Amino acid sequence: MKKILLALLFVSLVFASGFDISEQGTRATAMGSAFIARASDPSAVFYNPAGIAFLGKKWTYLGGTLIAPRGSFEGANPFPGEGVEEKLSAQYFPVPNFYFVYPASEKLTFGFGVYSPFGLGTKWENAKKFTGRYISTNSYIKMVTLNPVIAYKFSDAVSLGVGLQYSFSKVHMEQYLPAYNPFSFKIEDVGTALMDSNWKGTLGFNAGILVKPSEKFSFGLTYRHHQKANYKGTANLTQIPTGNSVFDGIVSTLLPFNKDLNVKASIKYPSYIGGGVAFYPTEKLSFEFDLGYTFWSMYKELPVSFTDYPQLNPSSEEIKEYYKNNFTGRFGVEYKVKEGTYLRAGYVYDQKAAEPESVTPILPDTTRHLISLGLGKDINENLYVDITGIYLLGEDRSTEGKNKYGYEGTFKTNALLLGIDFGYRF
Amino acid sequence: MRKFLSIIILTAIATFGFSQSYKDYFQKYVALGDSLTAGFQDGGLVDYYQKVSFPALIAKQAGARNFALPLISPPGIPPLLKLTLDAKGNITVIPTSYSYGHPENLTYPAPYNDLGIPGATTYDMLSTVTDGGGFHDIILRGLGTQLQEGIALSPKIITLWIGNNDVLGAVISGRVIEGSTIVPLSYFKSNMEAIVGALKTSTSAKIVMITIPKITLIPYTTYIKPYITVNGQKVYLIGPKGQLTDNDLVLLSAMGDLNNGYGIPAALGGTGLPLPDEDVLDSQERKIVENRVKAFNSEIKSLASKYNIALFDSNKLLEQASNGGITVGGITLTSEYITGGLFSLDGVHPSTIGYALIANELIKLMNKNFSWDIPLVDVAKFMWSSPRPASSMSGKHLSVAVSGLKKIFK
Repeated sequence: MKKILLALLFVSLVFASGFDISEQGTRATAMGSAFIARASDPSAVFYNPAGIAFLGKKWTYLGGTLIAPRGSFEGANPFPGEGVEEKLSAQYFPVPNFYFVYPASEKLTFGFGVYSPFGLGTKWENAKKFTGRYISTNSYIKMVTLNPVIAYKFSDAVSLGVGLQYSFSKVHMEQYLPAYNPFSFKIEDVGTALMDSNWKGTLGFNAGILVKPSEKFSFGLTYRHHQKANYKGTANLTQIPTGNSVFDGIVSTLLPFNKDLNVKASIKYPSYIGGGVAFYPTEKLSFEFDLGYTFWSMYKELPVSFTDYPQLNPSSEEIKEYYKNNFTGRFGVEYKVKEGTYLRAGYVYDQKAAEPESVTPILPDTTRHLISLGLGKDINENLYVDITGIYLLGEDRSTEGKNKYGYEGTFKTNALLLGIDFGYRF
Repeated sequence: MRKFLSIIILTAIATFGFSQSYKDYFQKYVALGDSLTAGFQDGGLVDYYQKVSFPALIAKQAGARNFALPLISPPGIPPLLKLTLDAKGNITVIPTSYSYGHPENLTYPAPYNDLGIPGATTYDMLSTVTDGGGFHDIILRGLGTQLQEGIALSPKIITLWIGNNDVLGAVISGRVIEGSTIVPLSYFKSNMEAIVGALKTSTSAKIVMITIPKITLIPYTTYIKPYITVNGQKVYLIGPKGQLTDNDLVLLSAMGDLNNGYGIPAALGGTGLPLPDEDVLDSQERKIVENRVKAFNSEIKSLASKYNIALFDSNKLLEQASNGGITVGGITLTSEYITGGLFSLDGVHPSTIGYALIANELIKLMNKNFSWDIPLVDVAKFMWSSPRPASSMSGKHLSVAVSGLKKIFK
């Protein structure tokens, strides 16, 4: 029974994969975030910091994306069984972004960004009855990154940018605790567990190169370094009476209910490298192909430990994660309809990172396809607005009977994303 | 056009026939074995547990229209066990009743499909027809030996899990007596050879054989440690030959004697008197039993490969259950006695959840070996509800119960 408890907490922290967010600026996002080789607005701080060297003016960009994920689950035997259907609660996640770029000289440009590169969460409807409640009923991860960058323009054709990524993040998880009741001969819910970590600051860096050999094309490379967050937090267990007072009495002596339990955990947020090439066939048209590679295989395990209850710590088998590096392909196009008006569109192929073992109610990772459309419009000489709408379709993802929690079935996910950013060129 | 149509129809029939083929086999399924095949649980055989025996579960998944069971009415034969407390508040496991259940299906006009007979050895399968009112009489009804009755059904698929009782007698009795509580290897070999040979020559069935579980991994031998921990120090219990060691196994049957102070040094509040021989499988006896299980299993394996029979190794599942547990739906199930969820109250036989997991492993093995696609059992159903009604405990004992149970739960 103790095992159960401990197995839980680490579970909660498994997020991360499908939790990386590429939508960090509405103009780029409208073009499938294929922006590494153009990087031609202040969101370059995130997409490719070398890009700010070519902006040539003080420039700020402020807005955000509203992400509305939807998901469902169809169970399979042996657990939770065929015919079981579950639904994610409708949630809306605002992901704000802010950028400011300041050219200090002809060659040297400073930039600063605030954004949220990892995040989101999964909350399942009707937690009390949700068949995956012993794994997770409500989990989320939040991250805010402060990103000062500096870019240097070596010539009109080449620039380099580097920055520090200082991130604050926290994780949260809720779940139910099961136990085998030898009086009723079945599994019963004996408690709930809630874990909340403190905000943790971590330091990383990003860097990029932008090369513009001609007016007809450009290419870029960008890199974001991994960050490892060692969280401290508190877990609270609350007992649920089963109706058998003898059994409840035993359970209450075995699990440390109604106490603040100190918990440590760590998550390694993976490195990312991406490259892109952009073409400018006419003055009105540009398009770009990007290829990204995320080092998810460095996310090998999720160690969790209870400071005062080491007997509750999960085993090495339990903390193992099954992730592999994944590719993301992006295409984006921008067309200048007339002076001050732009139409944009994009497509993203985002390859799954989790193996079936790690496809869970916490993070039902899958291969995703995104289609985006957007509009940019100048309001006056300095101020403009970008908007976008994106539809994300996740491929049906089966656990293939291999899930590490023995929670088998098929997850279906999709999402609608709406973005708006205001730009101001000084 | 006509030709084209008939090709389509033929293809459709062929495809249909292929994907359905396991159903044809399971219209003639015979389960041969002992208590594990019979669905014995909580110390008895009773209808609601027989219906969730692993053969019954597989038959249902595979679409068997008729899978006859030798059903026995509650409270079972013997009456099922339940958790309770003795006068001192110690947890004990006792029969629910002193009256026995009755066979409910004695007039069934053919041999039962589930011919598993609690207590049956390889010898019994070959030779025993009647046992003076015991399980053989209830299940075989004088129609022949277990093997003969199984063959008489002209089965197309057979599961064969026998040999457990060829060693288990020594464990249950705590005594190794060659030819009495434990079967010599040569006897076992010739019995198994005769059983498998007969099935191969007299039927055309597909056969799945199952190995004998390691007795040192079942709660009956693991639950009670040979020592008590006092202030972090091991204080060894007193066995029939003196102080026990880490390699001695104290059997579940010792619980009553321990509750009465036997085996516990006087300094710790015990009587200082030794546990009787039948409560302990000492290290020498243990070694003999372990080696015998190994030898029996290698015989089973060599027969399986000789006759091209699918082999299921029960110890893979058991080892996983004992080493960290089996996770189902985020719930970790272990072979821990009473609380683990995988074993029943008798400490030897699986729980309903345990049997369902065995059924699924067998289905996976058959699907793989025979290119079938039998759907897996919905184990969740047996985790969130039980075929056995909940047992209650009297209110006045509650506080003692808690202190008593704490011992067991730890």
